[in-house]
Amino acid sequence: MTTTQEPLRALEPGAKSVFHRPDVFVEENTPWCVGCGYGAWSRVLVEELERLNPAKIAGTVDVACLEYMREVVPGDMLQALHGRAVSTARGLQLANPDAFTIAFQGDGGMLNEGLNEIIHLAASGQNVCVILGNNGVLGDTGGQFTMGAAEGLKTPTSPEGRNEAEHGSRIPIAEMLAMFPGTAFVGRISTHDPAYIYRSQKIIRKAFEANMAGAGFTFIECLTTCPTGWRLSPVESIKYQEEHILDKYPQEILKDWNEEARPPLHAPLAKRD
Amino acid sequence: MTTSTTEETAVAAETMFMPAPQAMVESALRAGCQLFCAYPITPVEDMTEYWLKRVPDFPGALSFIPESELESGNMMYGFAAAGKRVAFASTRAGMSLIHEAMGMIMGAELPCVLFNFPRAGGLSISQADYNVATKAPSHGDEKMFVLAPMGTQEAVDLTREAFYLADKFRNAVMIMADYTLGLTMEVVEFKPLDESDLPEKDWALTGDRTREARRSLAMAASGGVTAANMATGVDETVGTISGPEKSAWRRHAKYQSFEPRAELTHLDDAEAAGVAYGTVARMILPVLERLREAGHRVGMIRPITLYPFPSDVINEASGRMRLGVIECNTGQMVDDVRLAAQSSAAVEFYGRPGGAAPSPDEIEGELLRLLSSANSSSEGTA
Repeated sequence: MTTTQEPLRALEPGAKSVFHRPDVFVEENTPWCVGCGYGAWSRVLVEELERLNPAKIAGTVDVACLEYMREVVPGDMLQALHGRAVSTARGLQLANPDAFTIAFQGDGGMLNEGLNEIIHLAASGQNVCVILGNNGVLGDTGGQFTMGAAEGLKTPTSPEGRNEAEHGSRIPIAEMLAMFPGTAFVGRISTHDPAYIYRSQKIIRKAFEANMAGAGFTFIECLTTCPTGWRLSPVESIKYQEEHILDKYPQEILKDWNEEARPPLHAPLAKRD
Repeated sequence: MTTSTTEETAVAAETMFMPAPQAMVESALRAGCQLFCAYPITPVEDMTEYWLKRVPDFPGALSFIPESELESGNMMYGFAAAGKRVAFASTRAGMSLIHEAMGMIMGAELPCVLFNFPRAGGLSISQADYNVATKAPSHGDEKMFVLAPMGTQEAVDLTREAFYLADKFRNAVMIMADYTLGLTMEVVEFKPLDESDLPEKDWALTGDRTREARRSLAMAASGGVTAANMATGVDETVGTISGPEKSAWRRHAKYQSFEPRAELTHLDDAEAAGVAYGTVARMILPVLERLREAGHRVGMIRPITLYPFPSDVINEASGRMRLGVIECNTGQMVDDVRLAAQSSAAVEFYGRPGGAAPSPDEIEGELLRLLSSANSSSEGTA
């Protein structure tokens, strides 16, 4: 269950607290830019971790905007090299098979620098949850396009817009990974508006539950706006996300885990007392 | 610690006749190594196969085989971060593929052991990877300790000790073998090692939530001040001496605190000495004995640690004899010898790169030439 705390302001008699800031968040300002989608889904992700409450949590973060997840996740976190967070997480998981293991990677790290690693993990079926934060650009270095960029996206390295003839096509990683027998669960989410956030949380919960049951590899592609990298205002970014990305890559469960049809590959993980 | 019971569970005899690479794996298993990362590349494939055969006798050792060297390096990083013993084996390009990960591993001060079997383009001896191992094992300021065994027994002993040293110094340790040692088969003995003075790994990422979360393992790495350091307050003193700078100096001091080792043969009264390591040193030994029997005052310095380099021994010897560095490359260790010597004029070089090895006759000719040049130069100064 979500850790609860007393409301900051005394409630009216008879009223109850229905919404509050999760305790696990450190007392820092958000490290992400205005309008960045990472903030919203880092919150739902941590809430779900708290809900399932694994006894042990270990994870890795790629070099990129997503590395701040290191501060957010309530467990032992290791900074990995760019493109290598997945392999590093696999090493951690081999050493700690009883820990809930999570790896965070951006689209630059996963789809450009280290594509082979996620495919090998999917083939292995290791009990690791991987979160891809996909905004189509290398946000940390100024918004150059990645292999996760939507067709037409204008960036410093695709000033006329990304086009297939010149830059190749977007790598449909979620669809690819869903094909592997070792993959227990694949979902795609977006957190650009409250309704999506609500449904995203349910998809994240399903992935985490599969990992807790020892089902094997789970994967969530999180489509995210990057107003800074896209050179758009936060509002324009959301519009762009809806019109140019979500129409082709909708929020959905691409592969659901069914315990009866596919029994867990590994021992279940213990919960914290 | 992970090493206490492995000797009891091993079914292999304490003394065995076996190929050096397999003997090194046996030694690693007995040292409590739990993950062996290697991609098939000659002569390393035998090591993986032997590892898999022996794993059932060593509880905790994993039969997991990484898909590639690139992934091996990073799996090793994650596995070592959890405080467990891990090894990697390869040669040439395979070693280059973990170069990037080694920067992270050494920056985060994680213990691991590497087995290196440098070879030339074909399948033959090479010492051409001396510089990359001792000078720049990755990007950044980091160093790994490099131990160079001359034969199978020493390879076994140094492997056993390497895991201890890796934990003690929280650093990577490389066993610098070569392709010839990779093909060598000898009788070896496995001896236990007392590790009771090793501290607990209170930095290990085990995921345990009953204590404070551990998040800072790689944060002081030599990448310097990143946005993340700044945001998380790790680098709170930018402008003076930052956290990463302090940390880099501390690691530098750690590297310096490792005592170099060298084997000195017939050095006391020598007028000239060969300087060589690994299999090349072993090739020189019988020639040396023959020359000694014939009354020639030649000796040999064999660095056992290539990093840190036994500079003091070289420096002392260079004041009283001529030194001839013999290597299977175009001249790499000779740079360290010249830096250490009192005068670089006292140092000569004989190299056989590209897969060639010096024959006994060549070695004899080179040592005699060195001796005569020592005698002529001492006559010149007299």
